[in-house]
Amino acid sequence: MIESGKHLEYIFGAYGLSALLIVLLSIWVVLSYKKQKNRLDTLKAMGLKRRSERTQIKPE
Amino acid sequence: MKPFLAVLTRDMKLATRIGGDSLTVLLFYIMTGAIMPFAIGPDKDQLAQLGPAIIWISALLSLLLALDRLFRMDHEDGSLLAMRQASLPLEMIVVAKICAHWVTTALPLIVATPVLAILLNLEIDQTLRVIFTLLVGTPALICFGAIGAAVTVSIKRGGLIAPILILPLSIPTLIFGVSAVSSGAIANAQDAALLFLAGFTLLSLVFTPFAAALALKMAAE
Amino acid sequence: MTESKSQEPTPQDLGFFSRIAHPGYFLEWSRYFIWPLVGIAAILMAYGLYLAFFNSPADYQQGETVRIMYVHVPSAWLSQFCYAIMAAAAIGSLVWRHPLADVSAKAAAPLGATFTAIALITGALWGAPTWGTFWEWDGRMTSTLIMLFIYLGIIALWRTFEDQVRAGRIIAVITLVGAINVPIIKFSVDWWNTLHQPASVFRLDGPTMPPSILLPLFVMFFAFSFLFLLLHFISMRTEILRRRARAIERQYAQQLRTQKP
Repeated sequence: MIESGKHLEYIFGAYGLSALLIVLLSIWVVLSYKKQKNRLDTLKAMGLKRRSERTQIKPE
Repeated sequence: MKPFLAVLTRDMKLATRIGGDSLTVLLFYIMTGAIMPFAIGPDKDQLAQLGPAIIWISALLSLLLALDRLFRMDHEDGSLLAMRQASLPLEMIVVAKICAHWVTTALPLIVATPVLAILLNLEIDQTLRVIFTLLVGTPALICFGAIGAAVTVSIKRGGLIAPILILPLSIPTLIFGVSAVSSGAIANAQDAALLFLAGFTLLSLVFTPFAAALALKMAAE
Repeated sequence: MTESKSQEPTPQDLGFFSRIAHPGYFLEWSRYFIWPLVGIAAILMAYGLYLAFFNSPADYQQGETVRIMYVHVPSAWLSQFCYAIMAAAAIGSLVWRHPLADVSAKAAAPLGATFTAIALITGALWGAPTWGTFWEWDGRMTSTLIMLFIYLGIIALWRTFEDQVRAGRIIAVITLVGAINVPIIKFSVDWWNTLHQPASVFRLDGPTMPPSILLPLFVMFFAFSFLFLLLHFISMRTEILRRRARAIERQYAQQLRTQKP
């Protein structure tokens, strides 16, 4: 069990800052994934596809 | 050997002609060294103690300043592509360009070092030692600079990013270079530092041509 | 309009390793790993934090500050492990010119930089009560700082290139040069450190560690590693999607240009 009064501020500072950085990193990672996903979905909604997919779907 | 010498002399001519940067780099080196005492103070003993470090830092910064011209011009106007048609492999062209660059930028700095040494109140034997370590160490700095210059050659506005990449890599050179002149009380540390510096320079001379040539090939694709 | 460009190979005609490394196929199979990884990382993290705060003793030398080690050591490990991944990916980019290797290297760089920063911050906060100063030019901390500089340089380089395929190969070169240099930098900094100060500074890695300290360290080590793996997977997926979107946009722009007289 942790004892109080022995450099607690440093320990909680270290855990707090690490947690903050990890949370910010995770949010950034997830948000940028969402952003690209939306971008690709918008393009698909416009009927635009990759060359390879396009030729497979409608072989004219 | 003939194409190698051709590239070497061509680069040396370009650097020393009007519009070449050799003199500018030299002036930058002297000025950087001479401006330090205004920040540190004119205390002679302190300056003598910090002298080798100041000289090394000034040399490092000056060499960084000159790097951009190593490959960029030749990449942009296509001369590098033309040179690759020669019988010389790109690695050897890189070696020739590094040699020419060292002769036209690093060598003038080393020759002008006694001026800085007088300003910084260095002893004669220490001055000689600094000059010797610069002779041994600057090739390593130029090598890493060449890698940085090759990697950033295709970036249009990339002049500032090369130093960011190179500075962390030049830390060993700086450590061994300065320690070979002025190190603590540990016996033989100076000689050890000099040997490490020489080893590091040789190592960088071995792998730089391949790395820089590879980056240049990728940039030209 | 005729398709002059050759089609990319479909996953079925490739060998096992080429198949799992095919970007499209990677998008398929990595999808099933995301949520299990979230679960594993969360459980390990919760258990590790419980052990770190409630179920481990204070060190007889470092006192309570030993608890900082449970974040510091895994982050320091990841800062090196991530560079190893980038170096391996760099070989993949240069030798096989594999697109997934570029993607992996690009996705890893910001993660490595963050974990290196965490290692530095926790190291400083550990040093403050132990050494009496936030920053000591100790060999380990100094080389970690230089590592952070290298990561930031590589991230800055990724951001300056327009063409990401070319960027992948060029950055692979500097990543490998860095990989050769990191041990040399570490050695030189250690040497410089012993030269300038007597090695009496108390270090983070004590020679003997009792099991009660090793267990939370072990759990946190795996928690951080799985967290890294998770974030790396998501970032790689992001990068593949980004490249697809960019390719489609470019094709569309070309189409518009050819349609207009």
